[in-house]
Amino acid sequence: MNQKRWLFQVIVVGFILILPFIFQSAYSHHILVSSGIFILLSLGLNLIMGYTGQMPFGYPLFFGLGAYTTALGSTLLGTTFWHGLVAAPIVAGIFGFLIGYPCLRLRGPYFAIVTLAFAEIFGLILKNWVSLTRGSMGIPGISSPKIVIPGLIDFTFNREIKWYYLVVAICALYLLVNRSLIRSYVGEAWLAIRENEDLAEAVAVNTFKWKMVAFIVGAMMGGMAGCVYAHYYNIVSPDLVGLYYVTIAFNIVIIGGRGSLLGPVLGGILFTAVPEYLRASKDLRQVIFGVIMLLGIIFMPQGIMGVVNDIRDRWFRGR
Amino acid sequence: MVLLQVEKVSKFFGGVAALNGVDFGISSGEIIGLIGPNGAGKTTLFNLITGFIRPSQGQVILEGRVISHLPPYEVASLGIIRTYQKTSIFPALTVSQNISIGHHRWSQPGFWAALFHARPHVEERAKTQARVQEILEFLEMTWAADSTARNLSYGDQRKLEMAIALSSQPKLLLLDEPAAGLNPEETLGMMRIIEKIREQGITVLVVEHDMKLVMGICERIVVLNHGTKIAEGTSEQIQNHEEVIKVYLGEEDEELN
Repeated sequence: MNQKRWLFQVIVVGFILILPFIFQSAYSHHILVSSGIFILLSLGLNLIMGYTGQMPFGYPLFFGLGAYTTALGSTLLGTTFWHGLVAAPIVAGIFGFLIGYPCLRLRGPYFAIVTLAFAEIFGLILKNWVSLTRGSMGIPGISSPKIVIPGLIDFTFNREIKWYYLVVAICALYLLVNRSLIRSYVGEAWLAIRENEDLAEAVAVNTFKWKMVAFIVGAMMGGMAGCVYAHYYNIVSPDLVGLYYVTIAFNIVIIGGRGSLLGPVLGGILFTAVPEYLRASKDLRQVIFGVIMLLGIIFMPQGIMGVVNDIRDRWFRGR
Repeated sequence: MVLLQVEKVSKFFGGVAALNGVDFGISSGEIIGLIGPNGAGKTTLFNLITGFIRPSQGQVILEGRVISHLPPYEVASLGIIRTYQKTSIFPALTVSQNISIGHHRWSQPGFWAALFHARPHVEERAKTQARVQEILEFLEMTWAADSTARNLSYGDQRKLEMAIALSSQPKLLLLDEPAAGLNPEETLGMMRIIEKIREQGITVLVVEHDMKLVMGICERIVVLNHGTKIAEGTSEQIQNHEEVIKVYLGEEDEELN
């Protein structure tokens, strides 16, 4: 069984690495990268929503924070992508703490709505503080990442295929962190909170502390995703904290499979790549997509990963 | 030795006194029963001892330390562990995971150790696993280790609740109607489990309506009615206590005599 699993993993990794050579157009590379960014965003959300069971409707706030942090740094101070990659999660993490501290004392819908309010406030600030953020026009001209070692390497991430590997690498980092936490006693405490918060508290789990940890780690991941977004598209705008990104990120986690490590990866691919190939017409695409979502929620409450796990159980254990 | 002292505790919800000057102590190693009609304040008292609500007056003292202002998880960290009246488990997790979470108070190597799976974390996990195995054997549930908790029968779910509580190695175990909804045979099994728990040196406070269970295992019984303690004593004393009989069976109707 272990050998079979090992072989399977090698095939999957190999497939991911050669994927840009199967779909060769720059357009398909672009779709892969943008779904990669959504996957990053959803992996952070999955810790808060999938594992700890909290519904942070305002989650894209952290995406926007990360994006604007690096956008302002890049255009005003001339910082690079690599600075942003460190600064964005730190800023998002600090705000995660400040927002989580009052919000996480609330439960269920109250928590969801108060976080949404914070995102709205942030969005309004971005739109109205024109002298700093240029309002709805957004901030263009964000630099592309470079790797420069004088005299040796001068490499710019200026083509989609280069970005693909960069995003895959960051995804791998996210997955490693998630897997490590989920398999530890921290992940167990998160699951306990999701499953039964009162009982968790009654067996000495400091539920507030662990919800905070999930919220801050999730916020940092959202912030880093925002940084990647900003340097890939070279422009940021207040839309980043709007309803569009909330909806997409939540859909990805729910359809992919709440509380499964790889759920957001599958959900992210489904939600960005597949619609692009359903381009019969723009209106019809939305309809097809809505139907897929409805059917998904009705017939796969555990998301795609629920189905995948069932198949895997049959495959590897043999029923 | 007094383990827990409930000192003149009152709790008011608006104008209603859910508890009114309740006063009693629990000694180490005892099994104490807490009985009373519905609405007598038994569950309120449980919530109050475990920190889920604060007393309006009075205090709760554990081994000389006032604990009635602490949040629930800290009370639990000090070794007071409760079960709930309605079955309360972690439904989507396996039986092993459920029990492993119960051990949380002994095994907290910290976030960074967890993130990097550093040695303290690995060692703690191994200890927790050993503890889970021990509990599974103690309660004869080894067969269910990998089952999802929600798929267990009702009786086994109630046993799993005990397993989660036991896994935390409590000083004082508060059981809220452990036999509710169990058939007579399962109730006997539950009595045996409670006695085995006492043999491990764990003090038990049990709320229960099943008189056979209460009279069978409790050394001392406290009776509550309308938020006040009306009697305290051995099962014989309680069975012959005039006011207790009045509360449970009603007063004799004078006109009939």
